[in-house]
Amino acid sequence: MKKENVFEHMEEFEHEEVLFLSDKDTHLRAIIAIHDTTLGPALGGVRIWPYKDEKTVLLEALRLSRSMTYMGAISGADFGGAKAVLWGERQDKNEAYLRAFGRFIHGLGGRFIAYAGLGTDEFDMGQIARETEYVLVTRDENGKVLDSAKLAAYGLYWGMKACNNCLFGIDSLKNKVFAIQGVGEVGSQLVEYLIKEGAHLVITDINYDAIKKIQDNYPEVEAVKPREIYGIKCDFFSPCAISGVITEKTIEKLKCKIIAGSADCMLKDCSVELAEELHKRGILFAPDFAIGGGELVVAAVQSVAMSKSSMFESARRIYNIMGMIFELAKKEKTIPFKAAIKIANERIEKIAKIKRIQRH
Amino acid sequence: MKKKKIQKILVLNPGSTSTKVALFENEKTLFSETIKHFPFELQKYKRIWDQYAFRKSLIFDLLERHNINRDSVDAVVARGGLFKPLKGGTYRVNQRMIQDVRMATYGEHASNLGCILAYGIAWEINAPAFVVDPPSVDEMTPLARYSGLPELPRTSIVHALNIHATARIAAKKLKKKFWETRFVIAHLGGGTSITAVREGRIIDCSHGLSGGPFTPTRTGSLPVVELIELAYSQKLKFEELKKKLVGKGGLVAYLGTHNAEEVEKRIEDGDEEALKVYQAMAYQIAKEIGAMAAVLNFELDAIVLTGGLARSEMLTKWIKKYVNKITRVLVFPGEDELEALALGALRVLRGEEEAKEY
Repeated sequence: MKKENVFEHMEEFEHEEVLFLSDKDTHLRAIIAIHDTTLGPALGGVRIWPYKDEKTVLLEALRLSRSMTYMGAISGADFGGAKAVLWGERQDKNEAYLRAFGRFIHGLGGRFIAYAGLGTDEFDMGQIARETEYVLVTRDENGKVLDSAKLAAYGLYWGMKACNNCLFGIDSLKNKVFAIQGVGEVGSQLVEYLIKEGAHLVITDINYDAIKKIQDNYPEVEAVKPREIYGIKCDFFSPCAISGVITEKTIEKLKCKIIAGSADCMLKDCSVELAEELHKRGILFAPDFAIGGGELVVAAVQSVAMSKSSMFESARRIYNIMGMIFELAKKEKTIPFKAAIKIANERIEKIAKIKRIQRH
Repeated sequence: MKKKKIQKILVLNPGSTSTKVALFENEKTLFSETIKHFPFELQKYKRIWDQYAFRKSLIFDLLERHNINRDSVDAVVARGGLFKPLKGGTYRVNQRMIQDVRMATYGEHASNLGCILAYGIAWEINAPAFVVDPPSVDEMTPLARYSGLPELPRTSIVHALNIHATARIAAKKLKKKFWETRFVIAHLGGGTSITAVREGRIIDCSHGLSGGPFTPTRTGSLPVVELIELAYSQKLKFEELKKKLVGKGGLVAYLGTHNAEEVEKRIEDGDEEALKVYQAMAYQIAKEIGAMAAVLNFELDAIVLTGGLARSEMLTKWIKKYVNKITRVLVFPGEDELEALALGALRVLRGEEEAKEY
């Protein structure tokens, strides 16, 4: 049934709250979608993207925030799921723009906690943090800010090993061929890990400078035009940029055995049907909300100040999480995508139940 | 008659201290500007290659100043760089080419930035990137490569872009097809290349750096044994000797200036030495033209003089006097590299020529 208004969309995804933010002076236009706060305050990446219209911004925020709820749940973190979508171009970001956004976040009193997402980075989070403490910044035991993309990439890298083990019975990614879509914050870090492991890489990005930076350091890395990446014959196709890249159309072009990347909601409309279609075609699809949660896994266990190496050790937990998903999928004869949602929902339900108990 | 589609072509020519940028709408120049780079801006970069992002941002700023939406550009074409020896024509910039210039496989040169700038900008606007007739164009016949010493085969370093562009202009003037013409084309500038151009290919040439006639700054061919004696007797280091031959040779060595206008002024004022040297340069150019005419069996459509020095009536008059018995002499003074680049891309966009793969 066609949804006519915001409430109907919210009901479809079971959202708690959606906020429309605007600041005329800084040209800030944003939506914060808070999906579920059962597990704790809603954590959400802040992305900036020039979507074609308001409805697309809204739907993107709704889908991505639901996915964040799953991500928080499956990674064992005490966070609910949310997403902030800034409707604009990267170059729109400036101090006033980000601080204005920070003030809106502060007004939510901690119900929403922001962290760097597509098109934003730690520097931007620093600007937002000048107006609110509700920003997730990962620091080591010395208080030094850590690049969250490194943790996300490290978690993804270990998740890929789990995928490789599931399909080929071996962790090592040596000599495996990877087609990486997007070599920004996370993708470029992933390249580093994979190169060290001896993998063969084919990369693309809409921003050529990002490609050049990688090829200047690793001339052996091949680059292809963005539209060509889907057709690369490879072991892993790794979307690490925008969401919704796996569609009925792009599936036809794929020549990979595994899809594993850091892009949020890489299945168009987060469609379960597309996940099933991939399964039918013999492609192992690693649920994005599970494999992309490296930073959250760290947040889940970061009760005390951790050393940098301990944080990376924690991000390795993605390997176990993925293993758990594949095991359940095998046991219940379902696809990993559905198995992962089941694991996430079960944790949310269990925690919701114990919250009836009063703490004295 | 079917109207030709309008194609917007961004043209880039990076030099060591500037980046020339032009925007063409088909054959028409919409704007053409030279962005000057100060030494302090460039000295922080270890390699020329590292200047990419800096120069790219300046090009984008320039487009913005001219209110050009970068997505409206249909192709980006650049001069450069130092590639493997190639046949002339328009080349699609590809990863292999980028890899060669990244590693400076064939040398470091500012023009190496041309193909990466074109590629990077074109990538982001989803348009094709080209280079046209790079300096490494080498179409010499096997016979022309013999030097007399097997270890030192003759190679081609010529002003291929201007020579090919001039050949097309001359063919058009003579109402002939470019691919059916036979020309001796002399590019006369700071460096001089005298070339035999048969059916659009530069089949022989005087080496633009170290051969042929002397030029305002270069010695051209020298008596080789005497050169070795000079190098040994004066205990010259390699770089010193090279600078003496390329940069401080020719008019600079004889008259202390590379400025042809200044030399002509001195001649007008009665400077006998300047007259002799300048006449000698014309003499050497004519002699090389004769040699290239022989390469073409003296069956020529025209001798063509081009390049900055072809603006000199004095010089071209002297040269003509020597060679006009061979065939007609056409003069197309100056060179418009940016236009030549744009036209190279346009031929491909219009399907008149197929882009070559590197």
